[in-house]
Amino acid sequence: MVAAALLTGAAALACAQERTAPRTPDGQPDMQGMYTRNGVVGLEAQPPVNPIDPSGRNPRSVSDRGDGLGPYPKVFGEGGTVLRGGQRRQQRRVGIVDPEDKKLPWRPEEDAKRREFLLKMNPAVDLKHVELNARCALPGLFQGEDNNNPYQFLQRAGSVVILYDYNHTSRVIHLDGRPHLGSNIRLFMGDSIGHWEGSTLVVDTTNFNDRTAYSREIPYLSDALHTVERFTIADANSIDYEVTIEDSKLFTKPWKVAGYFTRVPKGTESLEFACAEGSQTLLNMFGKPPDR
Amino acid sequence: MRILSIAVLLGAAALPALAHHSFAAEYDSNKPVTLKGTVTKVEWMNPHIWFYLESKDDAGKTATWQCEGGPPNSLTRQGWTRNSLKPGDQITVEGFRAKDGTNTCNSRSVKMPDGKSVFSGTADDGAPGRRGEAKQE
Amino acid sequence: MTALRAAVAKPSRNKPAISCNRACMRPSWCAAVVWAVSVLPAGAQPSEKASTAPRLIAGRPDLNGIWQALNTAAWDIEDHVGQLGVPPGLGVVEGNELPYQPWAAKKREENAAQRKTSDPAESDCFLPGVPHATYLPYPFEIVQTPARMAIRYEFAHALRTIPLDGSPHPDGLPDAWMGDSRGHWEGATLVVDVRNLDERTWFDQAGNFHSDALHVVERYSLTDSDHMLYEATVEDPKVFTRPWKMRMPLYRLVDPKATLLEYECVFYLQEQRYKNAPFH
Repeated sequence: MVAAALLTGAAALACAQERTAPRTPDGQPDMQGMYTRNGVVGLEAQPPVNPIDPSGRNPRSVSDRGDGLGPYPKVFGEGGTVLRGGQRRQQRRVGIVDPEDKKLPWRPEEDAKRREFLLKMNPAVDLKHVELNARCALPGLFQGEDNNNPYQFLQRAGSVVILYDYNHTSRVIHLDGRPHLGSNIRLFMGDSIGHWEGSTLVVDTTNFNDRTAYSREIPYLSDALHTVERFTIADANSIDYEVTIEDSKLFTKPWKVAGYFTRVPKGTESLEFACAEGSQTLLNMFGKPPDR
Repeated sequence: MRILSIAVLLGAAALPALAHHSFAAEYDSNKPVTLKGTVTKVEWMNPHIWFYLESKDDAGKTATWQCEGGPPNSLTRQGWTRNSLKPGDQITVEGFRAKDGTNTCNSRSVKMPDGKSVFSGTADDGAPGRRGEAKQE
Repeated sequence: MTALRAAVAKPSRNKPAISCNRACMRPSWCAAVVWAVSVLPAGAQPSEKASTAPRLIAGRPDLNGIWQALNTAAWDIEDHVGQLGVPPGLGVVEGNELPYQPWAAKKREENAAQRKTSDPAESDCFLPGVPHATYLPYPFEIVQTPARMAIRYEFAHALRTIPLDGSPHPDGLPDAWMGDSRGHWEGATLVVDVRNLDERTWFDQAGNFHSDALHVVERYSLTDSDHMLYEATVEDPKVFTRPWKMRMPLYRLVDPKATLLEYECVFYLQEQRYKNAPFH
């Protein structure tokens, strides 16, 4: 025992000379702090035209008037630049990374249904065809619609907690070995169970309801959705992220998306993003409902 | 094929990440509007700021308009506040009208009488500038 | 020697304790030892009476867990009798009286008369504000780490982050439905100062209200491992003649299966209201 203690002490001393990754009091690699998201969402090969904001590809769209302005002043999108500063993760793949050719393994009939669905989203023919983000729905997957609002990672014994400024969302990733919730519980955020593999947090999420969007081109996934996320502490300021998306009702195989999180400048405040309280979207789209 | 994808990439990079809601589903890009008037109210709230103005058309008729901007959080992080646009300010708004034909618009640009832009993001246009330095935490 | 070897051998599946990626400068054996050393409890004894010893985080009481109020303040924070759909209850306000200014007392009556359509939380599922969120009939979860805390509420996934770093309320923030919270410890009591609250929230379903001058100071203290005393001092010189205080116990959800689910009433309301959309 004494020999072990001596050996441990000596080795620990030697290790202390190297840069040691910080740990939380309960022994998890410490990734706590505030970050912005890069990447994660990306286009598939041969995507359908996005009916909601075709500005990227429609020469007649509002954002292509040649004056540098989009539908709104550019400044509204520059909050992310402020948070990210000049930081970049070099040589990082972002977006769909598996399959490499970005041809998603759609079940052909589901791809056809998805393309039909998109055609009815602008104008939305009914509530069901309104994009989920416009309804302030909780984002089961990290969304490009987060407007560069930051994320906070907190860690305590038995769980990692991620707080999103976007739509004041939060998720608890349980590390205590508990089983998933029963299959009758379906949640926008699903149910997340995780464990650490070295400096990678591996998160398994099930129990999604059928109201999860991946992007504007993939406006819904099914309740068969199952994700495995890997958050890897890459360096003192970055977390690499990869998610394997499995949805056997829509796809024949899982596919993978990558991105990363970058620390924000010291002193950055978390700001409330109250969504429904200020939203007039459904009113503008459909008119006043009878009971109001 | 390659040129097309580069164009798409460039297009995507140039666009503000103004998401969360369906601009194209609510506003008509074939109905541009230019409004000159006085700000009566500013609602500095998520997911989009709203401001209200009394505007006079060329015939001298007054109308009340409500116009939508982007999300306030990104403005706040860049030093703008709700007082950047105040009741009483005379402004010219360019935007597009809502599809439902009401006096609702988005605000593509907002200018003061001296030509200075509100919410344009460059120091020349009077933006307060960024808060603090971008440092590592 | 045996202990060290055992520690280095963890975890199973023949993987090193920390795999070295490009950014990691240490050799993997070093990382494994660091990991082992950090989790080997120093002079650990098998735990006895673990449930009665108070748990601490950085020397302060550990408030982590799922909590809920067990009263009817969400319907009416003052004494109230029962009605259809409204359970009776005693008030949570000290002195049993809300010190409204005369104009505000009238406004409260107007609110109460229109509560079926005007209650922002009940009619529109808007965020309830502070302290209302605490005594809703839905659980909330306290997330505590040494430097920051957060409270997640099941109702409408309301969320508050509470820095403990001594930072002041920032200037020029937009109003927030859940306010801007700054926390610090006074001994074993967590004190949270809340400002910048949006004026549109109510304190309950009975029309009790405030202005944008609202300032709330909350105090959370454990009275035993499964109970807390919650006090909130409310100050609003535009609406009340003096500050007033509410207090109530909070109860830990001790069922080991307890977990926050989702009450996404905005979504449910949309499904109901826009069922037959479009309307024009």
